[in-house]
Amino acid sequence: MSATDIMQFIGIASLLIGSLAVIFGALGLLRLGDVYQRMHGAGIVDTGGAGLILFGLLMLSPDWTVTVRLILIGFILVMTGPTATHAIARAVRLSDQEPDNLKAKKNSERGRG
Amino acid sequence: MRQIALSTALLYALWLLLSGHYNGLLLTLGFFSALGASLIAARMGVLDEEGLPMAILMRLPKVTLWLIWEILKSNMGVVRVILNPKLARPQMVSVKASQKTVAGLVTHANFITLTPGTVSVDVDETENTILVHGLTDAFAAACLEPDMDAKVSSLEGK
Amino acid sequence: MEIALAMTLIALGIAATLAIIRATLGPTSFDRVLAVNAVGSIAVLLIAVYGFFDGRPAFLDIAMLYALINFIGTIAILKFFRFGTLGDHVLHEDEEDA
Repeated sequence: MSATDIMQFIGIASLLIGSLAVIFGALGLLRLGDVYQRMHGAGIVDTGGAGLILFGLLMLSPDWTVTVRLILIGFILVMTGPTATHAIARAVRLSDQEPDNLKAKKNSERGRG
Repeated sequence: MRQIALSTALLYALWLLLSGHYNGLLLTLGFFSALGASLIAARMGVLDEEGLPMAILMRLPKVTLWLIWEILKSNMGVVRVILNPKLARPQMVSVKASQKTVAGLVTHANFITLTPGTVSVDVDETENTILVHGLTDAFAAACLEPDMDAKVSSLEGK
Repeated sequence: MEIALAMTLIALGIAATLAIIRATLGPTSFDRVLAVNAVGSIAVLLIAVYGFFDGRPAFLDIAMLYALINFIGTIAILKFFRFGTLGDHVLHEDEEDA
């Protein structure tokens, strides 16, 4: 078995595990109870799923221009994903549609509006 | 001025990596577009320590492997909760942050959101605390541990 | 290798469908934004994997742009929810708020 064969094997395994992670993340988006919990499901899609699939493609990459682009896509997703999730979480916090079980704690915990 | 030069250099390096065409005219045009974008960013006032936190960016590779491992671990944990949603015990905890710069605090909050199972909901710059939503008791307890805080503070290098 | 890429494409399609169901169900508008953001992330991966499947690496540039636009779109929608407009006179209101 040559080095390219091993890389191809790692790449394919990573792609398949990443696909599973993306499906589990989307399932979490569908199954979990309230809007905060669903964010954790979306988090799996953004980190585990995207990371593993991009790593798999990296292993299968035919030349360096493709490698550079894949790394950049990963970097962009890692930088923007948490920021967007945090923006949504903060918007839920500031809105009046926050899940009930955490709402009461907000008023006692922080005195300011 | 230093910031503009740095930003131009970074953007030009990015342009060189992505372009794939290397003749005189295009190389010149690429340089001027990188310079133009940097000048516009400087005019917008976003090219300060917060917009281009080089100290943190340079040290990021140090923690990358540790961060990937944390992400994989907590991914497994969240998948377990998704398969059995009754395990979820959503809760809010307030995490103390020891970072001294705003960019460091943002990095800490981003790392918390990046590991599934914990989402940073609100960042308080005056009191240096991050309000975190944890999916279960274990996730909430994990982000209260000083491990991640220490790692992010070491990125600041102060 | 083609088979693995095709399976990944199918998995991403299923995941996008699940996320779209969540976007349709709601119940709050933030659930919808979250689901649309997730669909965007899945679409980025879908474009990248399809580029490999079809042997056309130029698709990766499109995936990169899609990732950036997805982020800006999410922030724009949230800003619109909060202030009801995207115009710059909103900044004034924002200062009063803070």
